[in-house]
Parts: sequence; structure tokens; C-alpha cells
Amino acid sequence: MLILAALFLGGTFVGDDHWWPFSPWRMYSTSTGPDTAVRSTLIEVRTAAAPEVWSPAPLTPAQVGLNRAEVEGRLDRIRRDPAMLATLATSHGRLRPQDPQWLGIRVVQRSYVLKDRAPTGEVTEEILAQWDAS
Amino acid sequence: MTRLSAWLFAPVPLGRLAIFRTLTYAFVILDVLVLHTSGWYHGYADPVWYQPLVMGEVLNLPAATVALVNVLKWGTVAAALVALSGRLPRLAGALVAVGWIWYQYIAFAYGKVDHDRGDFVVALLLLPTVGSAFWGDRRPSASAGFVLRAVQMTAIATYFLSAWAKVRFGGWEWVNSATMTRAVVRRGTPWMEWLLDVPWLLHAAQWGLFIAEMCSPLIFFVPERVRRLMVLGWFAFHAVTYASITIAFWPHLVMLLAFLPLESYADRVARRLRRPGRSRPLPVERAL
Repeated sequence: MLILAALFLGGTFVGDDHWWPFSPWRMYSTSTGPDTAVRSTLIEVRTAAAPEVWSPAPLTPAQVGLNRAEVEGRLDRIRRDPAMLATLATSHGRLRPQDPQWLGIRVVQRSYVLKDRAPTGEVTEEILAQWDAS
Repeated sequence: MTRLSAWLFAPVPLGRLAIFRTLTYAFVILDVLVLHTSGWYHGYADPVWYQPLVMGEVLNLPAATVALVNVLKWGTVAAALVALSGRLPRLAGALVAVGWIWYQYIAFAYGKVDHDRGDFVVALLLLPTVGSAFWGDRRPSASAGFVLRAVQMTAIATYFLSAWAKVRFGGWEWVNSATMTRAVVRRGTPWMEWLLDVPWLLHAAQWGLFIAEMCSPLIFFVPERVRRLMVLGWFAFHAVTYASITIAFWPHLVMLLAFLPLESYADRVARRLRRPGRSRPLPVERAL
């Protein structure tokens, strides 16, 4: 009992997510500034059915084996090594063999600008990384 | 010390633990097959995305493969079915604990950890410490009482420590931040988008939630009737959260049931089910 308590307390005050199941209970624990932007990441793909068109694709485990937060957490590495995106196309092919093959993937970040804790309606888009099958 | 251990080991009817155990193992099956399936899909993700947690480093757990996730998925379900039947409670319970925790580990070792499962881990680890227990068994048991007490304490720690996590990661200004606005922008449901037009309401909700979380341990010091109201209050909070941003801490909701006299609810349901069978009182009963 004491060991469990010590682990949970340690997790909260010293540990991080890597301590699971004793990681800190930090859901929505960060502060978002009232006048900043809320960022949201999505992917767009070119498929064998329409090789010239970039269209949004679901960033979900059923499509690519990973969810949005897991890809967002590795953005730095993806930007350094966009070829990592190729593994998403491979996973998609294994999970959904009946779908058209993905020939290219790009990661797009949308920013919703806030003012006084409310969205202003202003939205900007940035392409963070891109991979194309050669 | 004796008062503390008397409180920790306060006996409860074995039937209460039996119901709690049934709900827990039934939830395991639902969770593995329907609710939390990202671990299964990680079997298909390239190992380049695997980020071992401390637990995986200590136990030397490998990246997921399709074979591994299938063994864990169906093995956990099979063990939970045996545990549900009431046979081999210790062995089946221990297998469920290992299988479920490993399966969750795989779900969380790819960069995103959910924060609603700490109390469920404690429940799965402790439930096998109680041997046979059947519905309707009224014998008081100190070991059953301890399991439920430990689950209650971890469930409340979820709130209390998450308030401290907000202080640690968000700072005291968390209460005045736009965190709930961010949540609604990112995952707000269509019928709750109006919340964005009344930012003061979300701001007030942040204060309310933070205060409620900080005060949550009081639940152990209030009369029984107030305690049940507080549990009801947390259920209401989770219902509103789900309606707003479709996030629900499902396993934690099951754990909150550890506060309730489940056996008397079951009795009441059983009595109501029995009644329609003899809607008119028998002559003998009328005479009495």
C-alpha cells in the first residue's frame, strides 16, 4: 500500500508519462494562453486513385496504426526525417488492403487564433513535412 | 495505527466484492474488444514509432507485433471469461491483470499515455487477493474491504493528484488559462460548440473543477449520504465532459462504483424483477 502510494506521489511530482501506470494524471493540465493559437495536426495524402490531388485522411489507429497525438508527439523527428511517414503508408496498406495505395503523405498543422479565450475565426495552415513515394 | 488499519480493512459483505469483480472483468472484455483498441492497431505500426516506457525497459518488453497483440487480446478475454464464471479467481484474476496491463502498455508505448487507468490497474492487481466470492454472499470480509478501500483511494487520488499535476505542468495560472477552450476547439461536439461563445463559463468551470479536485479527499470524512452525493457529482461531471468533448474515463467510472453498496442495489433489482411474477398478493399474505 505504502509502495503504491509512494509510486503515485512520485509520479505526480517527479515522474512523467514514461512512468505509466504511475505517471502523473496530467490530462489537460497545461495552461493555454488566452491570446495564443490552438494547434491541430492532420495529414493529407495522394492516393493511387487520384495521384495529383492532396486530400485529408483520417489520422486514426484503424487507418495508420497510430493516433493523432502519437504522430504530434514525434513532429520534431518527422521534420528531420520525413521518410518516417512512409511507414504510415505501409501500415495503411496492411490495415486496409482494399483501399487505394497512398503515394504521398504530408503533415499539415492548422492554428486557430484565440483572443481573450475565444477563437477569432482566423485559421492558418502550415505544411510541416512531406514524403512522396519515388 | 489500529484506527487506520481498522479503516483500511473495514469488512464489507463478500457479495459486494463479487458484484464489483463481475463488473470489473466484464468491463475488461468490453474495453479490450470495443473501447480501447489502439494497442491492437499498434501491432501494425512500424517499430520505429515504439517508445519504451520505464516498465518496458525494466521488463525488457519488445515492440508490438500482430501476433503479440492478438495473443494478448484473446488471452485476456479468455481469462476474464473464466474469472467471470467465478472459477479459479486467483489464477484467472492474475492472468487478466498481466494480460490487460501488458495490452495497455502496448497502447501507451507509442507516444501517448491515457490518464484514466491507474485505479483500474490497482483493482486488477488486488482483486485476485480475495478468493471465492459469490453474489448474495453476506459474510463480512476484511480482505474484500481492503480491496474496495484501495480502489476508492486510488480513484480519489486520480482527482487530487491531477489537480497537483495541473499546478506542476500548467502552473497556478491554469485556472485562468484557456485550457478548456482549447479542448472544445480541438474536440468539441457540435451541440456544445456554443460554449465557445461564452468563454466565462468555461473559465468558471476551470475554477470549479480545480477546487473540486483539490477537495476530493474530503469524501472520506463526510457522512455516508453526502459521500454518495459526491460520487453522483463526479458521475455528472464525467457525463458533461463526455457530452462536450467525447472523452470518458471509462475504467475510472467503473472504479467509482467501489464507493457504493452494490449488493443492496442488486437486491432491490432482484426484488423488482421477482414482483411481476405474482402481481396479486396470495390469500395467505393478505390474511397476514
